[in-house]
Amino acid sequence: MASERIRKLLAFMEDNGIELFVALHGGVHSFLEPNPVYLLSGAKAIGESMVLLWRGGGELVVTPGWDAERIARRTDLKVTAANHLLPVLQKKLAGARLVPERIGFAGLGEFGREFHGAVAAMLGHPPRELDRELYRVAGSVKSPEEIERARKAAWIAERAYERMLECARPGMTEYELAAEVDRQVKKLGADANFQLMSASQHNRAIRVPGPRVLEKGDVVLAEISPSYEGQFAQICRTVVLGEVGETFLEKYELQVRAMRKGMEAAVPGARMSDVFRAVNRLLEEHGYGEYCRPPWIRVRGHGLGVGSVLPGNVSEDNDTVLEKGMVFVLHPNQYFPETGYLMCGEPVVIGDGGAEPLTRRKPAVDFIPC
Amino acid sequence: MNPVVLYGCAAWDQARLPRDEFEERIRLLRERMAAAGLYGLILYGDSCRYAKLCYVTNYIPKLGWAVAWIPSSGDPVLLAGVLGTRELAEVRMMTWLEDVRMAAAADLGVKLGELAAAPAPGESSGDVRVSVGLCGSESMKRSLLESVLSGFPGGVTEADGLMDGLMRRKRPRELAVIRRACAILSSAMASLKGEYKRGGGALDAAAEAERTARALGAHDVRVMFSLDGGRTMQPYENESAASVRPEPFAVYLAVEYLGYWAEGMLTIGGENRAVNRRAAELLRRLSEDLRPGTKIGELVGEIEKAAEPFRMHPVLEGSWGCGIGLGLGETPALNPQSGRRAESGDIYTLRVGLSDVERNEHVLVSRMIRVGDGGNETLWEGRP
Repeated sequence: MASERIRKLLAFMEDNGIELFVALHGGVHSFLEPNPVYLLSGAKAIGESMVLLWRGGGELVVTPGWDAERIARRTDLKVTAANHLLPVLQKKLAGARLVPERIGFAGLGEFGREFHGAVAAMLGHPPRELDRELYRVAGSVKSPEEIERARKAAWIAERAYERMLECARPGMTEYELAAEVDRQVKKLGADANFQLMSASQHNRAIRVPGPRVLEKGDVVLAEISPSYEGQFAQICRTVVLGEVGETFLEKYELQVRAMRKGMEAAVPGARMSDVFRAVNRLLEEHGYGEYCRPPWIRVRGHGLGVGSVLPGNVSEDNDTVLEKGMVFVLHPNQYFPETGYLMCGEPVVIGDGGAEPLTRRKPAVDFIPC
Repeated sequence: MNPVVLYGCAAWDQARLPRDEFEERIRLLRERMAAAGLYGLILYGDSCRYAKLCYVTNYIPKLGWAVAWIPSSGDPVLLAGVLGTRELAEVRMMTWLEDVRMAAAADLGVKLGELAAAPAPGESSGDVRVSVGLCGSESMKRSLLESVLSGFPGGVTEADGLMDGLMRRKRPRELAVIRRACAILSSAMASLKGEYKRGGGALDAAAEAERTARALGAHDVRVMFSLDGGRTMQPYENESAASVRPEPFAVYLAVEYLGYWAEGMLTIGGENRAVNRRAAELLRRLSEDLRPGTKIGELVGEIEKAAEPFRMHPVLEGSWGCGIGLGLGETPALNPQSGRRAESGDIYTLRVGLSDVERNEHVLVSRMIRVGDGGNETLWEGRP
């Protein structure tokens, strides 16, 4: 797919008079931030990295230099080892002798003013930043390989959640439980993970794990987000230590129905804002409209990096039109005054017939007897 | 090393780092601000480079960024670049500062400008202000820095040096936290060795080490390992490393606890090789000879000569170690170009990596020490 993306980007460059495209990344791999270097190369470097692309070829520059051998196994591009990007870029720009308008950049905004200033000085002109164009042209949908990776990441997340059900018990701290789940994620082959895990008898939201000791009656919230070979997936789950009443089950069922409404709305041609409204409509009809807005709720899901994070947030202000091959997490997590915050969320891929979950298990609250 | 967003145990540990610890740090910082003629100080930090921000606030952003406003008198303010106001509750759990506010990149400069313009206690609004300092600008995204600068038409003073001296000598409570981080590192390495010696592959051993560190309260863990006898190092990639049992097995492990780092490199196996023996000898010399007053560049130059005919391992990137604390790469760096001297109280991670190119044998070992007038203290040492 990297080659397919490069083909699309080269076509865009041809149409727009761009002769050299420079994609940059600072080395911080977040599931909420795009990585233009990974998008074009399929490789995730430890440090700063850069793809240089022109009609006749392409090159991936990685730092630190000792990581180049590993990276070369993960990309079709020629790989150059470097300790710093700027000297390499300076040499390339001097050799290319292009007018600044014919050089496009992506990822430059991640760098500091000094780096940006150095690039502008090399060009003698403000750099032409084309991030939005890059993701629109080459990053809106996932490749079949990336969708498979997302499926594998979702599979890892589900196994990690099973581990959580095996381990969670009163007396252990949130961070001890989180450590067990994270180990399962890593043992099964994830290259990274992001995880929120917290508990209370009445949660207002989920947060990073802390030293709180789990107790009988706790509602444990989990957001598990493994990355498999650079593609993240995310699941959101709710576990009860002990038993709960009918009201709790009713509210969770309402949340699951809201999820279904969102899935039904997520069809090719619909907008992300349509999905957001579909989720909220059902909850509003049941009297929870007040809790469907900030500060209670911000979004109902989001894209999953690290290449491109399109289609972006499941939010009211996102009019991105859904296309086949888009991947995102749909999570109608909701605060109910009667029960506290409850979580349910699945990663989905948009197919011909609409949103298909990448997970196997149907959303359900779990109980651990104690 | 393969940084992502942070998700380990996060809390303000008031037993280990109580409020008075931070009040004292602020008092010392304000003395330096006054000497530098600064009315206020802006401290920037993000999930990767948080040292100065955390030193004063205890806060480490799990993703995104935060800025602390430290006026010469009056209450400091933490401006957190969180996604929504709901997350402010989480921020408040990690800091002793009472005034915590949400900020966006676009209005950060305006908010800071307003804070700087507000009269301090006992001051009239007409008082003339002197300059404002900024720490961490080199780490800030351009758009964020430009937003900050827009709030100060008269400019700001680069003030990173103001805190470097303050932070170099660790305070007693900092040392206690670093010792705890080293203990977590020791436990994690023991788990790794146990898993490996029980027959586990490289991936299982690395994952077990990380689990142990996180289960003991580590906030962040960085792992790298070698699948080719120490020639190259890699982060987690996929499940293929599960079936590989490298011999020797070289690992790098760093744990962050309450903001403070401990790191270690270890090579399991190959102890009788000449390259391993030389590495052990160089590590011992570094540990013993890095004394108060030692010229770092001269000592490292001697170590490099003593390493011959073996080559310095490329993962060392030309440095035999550095200061360590709230950052993994604090100053001074241990390289032959250094013109600095070691000081009593310095804490270093000492890294020795050698390659016997002819035999394709490689070794990575390390130690953490605290330099002292009466001799150096070993804080962490890897034993295969």
